[in-house]
Amino acid sequence: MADPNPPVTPLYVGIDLGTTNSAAAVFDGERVSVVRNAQSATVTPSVVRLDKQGRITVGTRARRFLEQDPSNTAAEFKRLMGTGQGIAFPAAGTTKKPEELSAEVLKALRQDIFDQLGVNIERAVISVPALFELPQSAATSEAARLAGFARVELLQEPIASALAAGWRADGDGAGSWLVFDLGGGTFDASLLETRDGLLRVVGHDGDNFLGGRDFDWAITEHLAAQLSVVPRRNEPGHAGALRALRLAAEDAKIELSRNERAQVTLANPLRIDDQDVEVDLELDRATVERLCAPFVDRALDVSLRLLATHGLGAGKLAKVVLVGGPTVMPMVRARVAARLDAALAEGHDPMTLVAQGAALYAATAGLDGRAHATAAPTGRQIWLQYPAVSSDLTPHVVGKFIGANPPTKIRFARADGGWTSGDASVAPDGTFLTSVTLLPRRACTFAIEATGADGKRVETSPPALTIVQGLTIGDPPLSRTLGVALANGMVQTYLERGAPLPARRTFTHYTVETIAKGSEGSVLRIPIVQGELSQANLCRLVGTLDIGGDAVTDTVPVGAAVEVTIELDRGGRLSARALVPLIGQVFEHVAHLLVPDASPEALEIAMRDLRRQLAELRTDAFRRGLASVIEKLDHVEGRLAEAEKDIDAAHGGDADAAQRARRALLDVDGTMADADLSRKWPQLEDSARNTAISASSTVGMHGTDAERSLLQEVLAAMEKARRDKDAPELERQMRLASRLSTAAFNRTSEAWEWYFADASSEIGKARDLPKANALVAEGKAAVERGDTTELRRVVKGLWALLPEDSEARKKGFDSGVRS
Amino acid sequence: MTAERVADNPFFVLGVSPEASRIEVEREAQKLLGMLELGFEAARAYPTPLGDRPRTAEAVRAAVAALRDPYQRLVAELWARHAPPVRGGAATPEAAAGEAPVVTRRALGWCP
Amino acid sequence: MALVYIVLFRLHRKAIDARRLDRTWRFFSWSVIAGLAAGGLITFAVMFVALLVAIGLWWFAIPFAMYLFLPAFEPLLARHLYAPLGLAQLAYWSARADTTKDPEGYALAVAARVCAQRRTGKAEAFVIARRDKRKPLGDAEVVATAFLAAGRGDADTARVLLRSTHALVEVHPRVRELAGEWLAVDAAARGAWRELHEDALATRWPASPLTFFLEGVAARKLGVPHAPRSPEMIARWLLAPNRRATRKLRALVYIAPPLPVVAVPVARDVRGAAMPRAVEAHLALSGTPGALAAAVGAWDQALGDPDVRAWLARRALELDAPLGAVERALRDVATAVTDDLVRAADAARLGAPASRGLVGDALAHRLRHGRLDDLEAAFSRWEGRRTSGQVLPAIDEWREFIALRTAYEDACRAGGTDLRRLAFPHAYRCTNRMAVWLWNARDELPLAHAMHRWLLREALAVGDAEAIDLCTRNARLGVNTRLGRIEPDLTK
Repeated sequence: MADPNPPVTPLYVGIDLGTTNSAAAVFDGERVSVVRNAQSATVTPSVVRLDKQGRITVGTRARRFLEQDPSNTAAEFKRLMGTGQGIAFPAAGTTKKPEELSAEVLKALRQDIFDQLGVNIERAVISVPALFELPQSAATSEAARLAGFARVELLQEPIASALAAGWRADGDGAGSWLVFDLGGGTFDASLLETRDGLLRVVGHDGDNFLGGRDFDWAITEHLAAQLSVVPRRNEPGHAGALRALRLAAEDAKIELSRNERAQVTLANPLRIDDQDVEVDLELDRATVERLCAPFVDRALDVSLRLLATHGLGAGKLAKVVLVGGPTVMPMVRARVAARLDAALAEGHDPMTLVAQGAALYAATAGLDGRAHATAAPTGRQIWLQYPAVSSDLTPHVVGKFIGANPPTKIRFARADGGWTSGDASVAPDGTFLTSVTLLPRRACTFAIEATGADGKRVETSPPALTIVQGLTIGDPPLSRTLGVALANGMVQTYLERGAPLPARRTFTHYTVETIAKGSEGSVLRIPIVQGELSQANLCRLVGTLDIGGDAVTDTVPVGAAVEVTIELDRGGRLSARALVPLIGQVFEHVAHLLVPDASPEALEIAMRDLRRQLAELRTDAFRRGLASVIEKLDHVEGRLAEAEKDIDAAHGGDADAAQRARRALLDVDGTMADADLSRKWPQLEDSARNTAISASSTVGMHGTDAERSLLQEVLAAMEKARRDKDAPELERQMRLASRLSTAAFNRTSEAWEWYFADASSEIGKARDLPKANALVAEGKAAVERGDTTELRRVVKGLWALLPEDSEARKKGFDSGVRS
Repeated sequence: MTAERVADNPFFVLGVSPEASRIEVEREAQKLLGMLELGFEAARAYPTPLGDRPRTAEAVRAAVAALRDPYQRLVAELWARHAPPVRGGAATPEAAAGEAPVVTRRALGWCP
Repeated sequence: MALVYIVLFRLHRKAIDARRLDRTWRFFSWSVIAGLAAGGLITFAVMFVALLVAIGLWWFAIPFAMYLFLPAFEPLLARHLYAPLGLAQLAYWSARADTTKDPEGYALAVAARVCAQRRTGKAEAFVIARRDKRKPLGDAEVVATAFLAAGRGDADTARVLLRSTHALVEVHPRVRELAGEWLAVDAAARGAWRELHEDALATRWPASPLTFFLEGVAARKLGVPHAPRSPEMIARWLLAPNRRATRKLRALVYIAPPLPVVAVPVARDVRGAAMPRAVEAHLALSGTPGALAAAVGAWDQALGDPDVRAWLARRALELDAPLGAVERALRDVATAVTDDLVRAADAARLGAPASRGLVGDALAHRLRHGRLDDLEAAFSRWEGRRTSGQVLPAIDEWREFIALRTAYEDACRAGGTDLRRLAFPHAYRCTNRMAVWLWNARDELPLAHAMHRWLLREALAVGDAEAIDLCTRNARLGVNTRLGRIEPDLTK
């Protein structure tokens, strides 16, 4: 919605705050232009340097120091956003948070806009990766606040790219689009659809830790291997040499986008283990393509998976939009076009497309960037509500005159004189509702003409309004489903992925344990998780709401209602509230809004654990010859090896590699659980069959009618669980079947005869043999008489004399499944 | 919850017919958001088969987002097209919850 | 002289004790006897005090007067003076002066009763401190906790706790009388006349005159045979306190309004499309089995209807919905509808009606297995907390037990004997362990006994021979309480 009093020419600002490079663009309602920095480049490297005097340098000038003074120059801090991890600047003797460094980049871009347009910007749209989690989004908003923005909105990068690409598309270019955004550090694939001038996100997928950086590292390692002394990533002393090599590799990569060959030469020799190593190597395009191809394929796998989820095959796409530096490489373009079998959208600058889209979105959101001049309003003030950008050719304009005795009539006249609305009448309370007609793909300004009761023209403030006709998108959608983890390990979804922001949902839950008043140990935890899976352990914890025994005014018994409300604002900031009606208390403090820390030591322990599990699973799978399981485990092996490298790098101080390793391990954990299930499954199926057979015969013979019909139900449920490969459900149903058959069996006299035979066969183990013998004799007599009551007494007496496990034997119907 | 399933149907929230085109849905939502922002009395409630319900900006946003997605719109149509006709007026009270109490705890000395 | 006083005192006490368990005309006789005895006591006290004053010992007369008047006046003071003014401590000490067995228990309940009417932080803290000093937990402590909850406006908790005392073997008649009165007043305030009448028929609670009157009102309202007639109602009304407040009730009784006819929704045979019928049945969903069955049947028909499917397929094509949208829509609607139906069935504690189809099957599955799962998880958690060393105060253990018991009974009622048989073994294992632990390690004998008794009843219901055996033995153990050792009578 538009601001009530826009200046006549609004200025919309979009900022792409990237991992390696950042850019800003402005949109004036007609044209989008990219802002150039002091070096007149369209992109500014996301690099910040802090020198001894504490002076801050940002961008290209700072990037030069990456090689000379790496410890005081930070790059790629965007990946650490929301982790709470500080970045040290030893020369200045301070530590800065990632959001503070991002704020410096934003400040620099803000200055560039001022230098170029002479406008001080207070509001803007900042793009974030599609799969950013809440803590990361919150950190981005915080960075903007630190940079002096009064208000920002966050927009997912793929939507920005598509908006920018779609804005120029001719006609209504209906169809599905894929935005293939391979950035410095992240990869996002987004499927979008345009129709009737509306852009809609159909779905997205991605890898938060796949990007151009991986290309650079692959090339760097290739180069390093050719040196006389090979620098290693897990050696903190080699970090400098590697960094220098990496910058050279990056330059060579860019050069190879144009040429077939490139020379990698460093002016100064590298110091590795106190030796001077000269670097003078040659790199050709084929080698680089070979090194980078696996990463591109990984990205393409993600893209195809996304298409498949939405029922689209390759070749069904209208266009593919390439975004991000690495997509400039001819190899990437060719590979993408070939595997997705679709036309690439041409004529876009992949480096600034996101910023342009963000600027266009600022218009849609009515987020005028200008700081407001507080000129005294002349004329009658109106509050207006209208879309600043509209795909609709005849949008509504809603308004309200402030103060008593409003004019009676109002009309809107388009500036080109081609159209004038009829007189709309103004209600006595000052409100009116009318619609205007736009020209396609143009910014239209309408003069407001109000007429008083006396028939005289009334001046209004504002005197006119501007609406742009073009592609629009709705409210910013939530990137990942948000919910609350429940005691049974499932997730109650609060806000689905794609839900428009701001949003709020309330659900009532019930406590599963008592919170005793005054007891510090008893805490009711409400974990807030983000992720697309219904099992809580596979989602990410983004915050917790604790209700502690020390905070409640009275004991909250088990089963008490708790009303939990989760709220997200437009920027993706989370707040949550739990109301316990029983005691009338509200708890609002959300703790733990951070991406979990990943220390190399903790990672190593997790790694060792996974390795051990993997070995066990593998041995077992080999023994049984389960080919599918072995295949899965091979894949796991590969991921673990990769993660190991990252953990090595983490030891060398690479916090980003640590985060990547953490995610990889989480992923592996999920795959292993899956493999474990496939391994256990045949065994489980087998025992399910046995249980079914034995239960059917026992219940068939001794069960009541009700039990028989119940067993039929259980057997049907077992069959269904077997078909669905639902192991927990199957185990539960088996337990039910065993219980039924035990119950049926125990009711018969045969049961006790059977128990008696069983117990008397083990009489040799009895503690008191004479007594046991006497009991056996009594029992035999009871069997003859058919006296079940007496027999039961005898069996119990015998059990008392026998060691423990004999008694456990009677539960033999519980088959061999462990819980 | 049962009543909400029908009363919160996006078509009722926006007050558009299930036949409405995408553009009509967008236009109506944008108008309603504006009216709600400026406090128009007419936008504050919407009629449903269960009587009037309060309308919020959040509900309008959610409704228009739901109708943009063809699948969600299909499900919304399934409900809206087969629901009883909408009617204004106050919502029907929940099934008469017994007669009004003739005596209170307080009167009998058992209530704070 | 003293002998006369003691005889009168005993007579007064006996008459009241006898009256509590009576719901017949003898209630009045006992009341008259109690009244006469009280009159005698007062006369005696007046004479004695007058004598003391006459011989100049007026300073001696004051404590004596208090001591002599108290037995007759204490309940009156509690009701008309301490409670309205919130004098919990005074109420406690004047009840404490009473000479029945375990006067502290009664005093605790009276002090809490004051909090139920006029709650102050200080009074509440006083009651809680007194309550926590007493071990093991018995009916007085549970009733006191309930009254505190009532004072905070939490009538639901209070009701559940008060009703739970029925399972405890330790019986303070005067405490139970207070509990019964609160429940009667609560039922009257909610208009739950059926509940009140059933309590009266089962003589669950000792009756105070107010309870007796309200029970009469309930019987009249329900129009049951043998309901008290008007003269008797007037007598009951006269006998009960708060006559001004209950006058309206009495007037209503004269008119004796006919019972409201409960309309049972009948599945109407609506012609036409299946889908509108399903939506309509869904909107008409209420807490009756008929409405639930109608809704389930209507949905199963609608979601299996080829016309509905054809309509969906056509619209999906027109809207350009993704492939598989029709199946997904049918499945999603079935899930959403089932969610609603499960919630409605849970709220009204209903079982799944028999209907084959997407919704009927899912509902049956969710109700049976969902409830079993929840029960198992809840019982395990209760028991697991003990092993993890999280020991709660006895009152909270009791509250947890009664919450679990209610959940268990609700689930069994909805699911029938089959489900009961399936649910029992796990509940038995957990509860038995908890009860044994409460008995052995925590000396909470009345609580443990109540749990054993409950388990025994359930074991008998499902015919689990082993459990019957063990529970009988456990439930037969004598329970030491503050009222002496109680040898349980399992035939009751």
